[in-house]
Amino acid sequence: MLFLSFLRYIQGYAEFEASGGFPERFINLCTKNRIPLWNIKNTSGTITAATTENALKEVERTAGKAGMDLSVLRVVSLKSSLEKHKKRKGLLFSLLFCVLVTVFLSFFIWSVSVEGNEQYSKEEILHIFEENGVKIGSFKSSIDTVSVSEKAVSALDKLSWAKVNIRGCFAVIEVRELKDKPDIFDESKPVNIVSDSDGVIIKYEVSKGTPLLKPSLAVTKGDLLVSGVLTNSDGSERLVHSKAFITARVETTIKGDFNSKLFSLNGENTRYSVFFFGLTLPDYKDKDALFESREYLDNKNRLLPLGIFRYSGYLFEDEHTPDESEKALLNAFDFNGKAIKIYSESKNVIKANISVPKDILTGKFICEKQIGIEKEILTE
Amino acid sequence: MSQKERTNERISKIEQLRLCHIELEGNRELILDGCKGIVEYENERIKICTDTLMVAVTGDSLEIRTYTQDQIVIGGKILSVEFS
Repeated sequence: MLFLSFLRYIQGYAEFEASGGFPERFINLCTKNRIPLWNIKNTSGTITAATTENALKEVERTAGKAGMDLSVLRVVSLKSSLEKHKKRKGLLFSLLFCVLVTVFLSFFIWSVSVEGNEQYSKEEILHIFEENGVKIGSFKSSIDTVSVSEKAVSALDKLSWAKVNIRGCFAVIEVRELKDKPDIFDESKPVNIVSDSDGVIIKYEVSKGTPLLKPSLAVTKGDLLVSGVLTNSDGSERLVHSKAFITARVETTIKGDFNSKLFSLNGENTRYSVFFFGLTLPDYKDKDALFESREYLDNKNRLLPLGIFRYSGYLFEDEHTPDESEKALLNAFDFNGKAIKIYSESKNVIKANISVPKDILTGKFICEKQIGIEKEILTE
Repeated sequence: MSQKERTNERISKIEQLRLCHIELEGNRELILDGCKGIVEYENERIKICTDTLMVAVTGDSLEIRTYTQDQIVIGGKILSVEFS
């Protein structure tokens, strides 16, 4: 319907009104003489309709034959619109300019998106492709998609495949990453299971090997817990890959102990640039030495060629020994890191006792953890 | 009358009985093929002459969207279609 209206506008049409006489005769005569009429309405004996601009004279003659008085309401055509704005040359030039600018801009990439990444971040992948010419504002014909993809795969170890698809002004980077191969346990190697820390055995499950432990047995680091030597019924021996889960109560003491020197932050230097269709304004010459962060406007996961870039630089004083208050805080951070490690490695923390003797943060933790580790039996 | 003449007469009678074809889209649009002329045209009633029938369309705000030599498209709120 819209297309039909557009065609009629190009061709030109006239809307008219006819009253008096015989409306039915008028319409029948128009049809018989192949005069196109549409949107015919009858309002209290007055017919309003539309016809082509070329047929208007015929319509006037036909209205006369049917005894009707015709008046033209309006004439619409591309030709008349152009005539009306004949003197407005600026309008024509600006229209032409818009078309030329649109055509010119269509030769460049204005949005880059990444799909299929899991291990690598979007920024890492975009950075590699930017170095090889795929970025906002780059000329489409200058991009060799095959060689760019090959360079990206060789630069990023965990990429197995990459492809750049250019659809209009959008570049979509599709990647496929390598999956980590699972650990393969070599069960042909004979191993013993030894303790990796001091503790008291709570429980154990031995699925292969000869157990040398019992509940509540105190063990030290390196003690043999499960032997990989099995005795057969005839008295001979054979070596096996021991398997066991051994849980023990382990006591660990940690202290917050930060002994390094410090650098003080003496100021921050932040600058901003506006990114507009490939242009960075202003373009700082020393930006490589600064930390850069980019924020683009986005439209449903597609980055648009408009954004703000932030460049940050940090100024540090020379190193100095931390004073008492700084040292206490840093010791606390160090202690916290060590405590988190204990909690993450243990099955259960039975007891935690934290104290500050002589201003040093000290913690004593009693926890349940797996203490068996494999140790290969060396054979000739 | 010979056999051939009787067959031709039968064929011409069948051709003469050409009926119009009407399509209705809900009660909003009516397309009629085989239109010969408009007999009556009012805001609430349009009467169309076809080969064998007179078709009267009654409704509200009726307008003739297009009208060519063979086909007429009537739009508006159609209440009834009568044949006579």
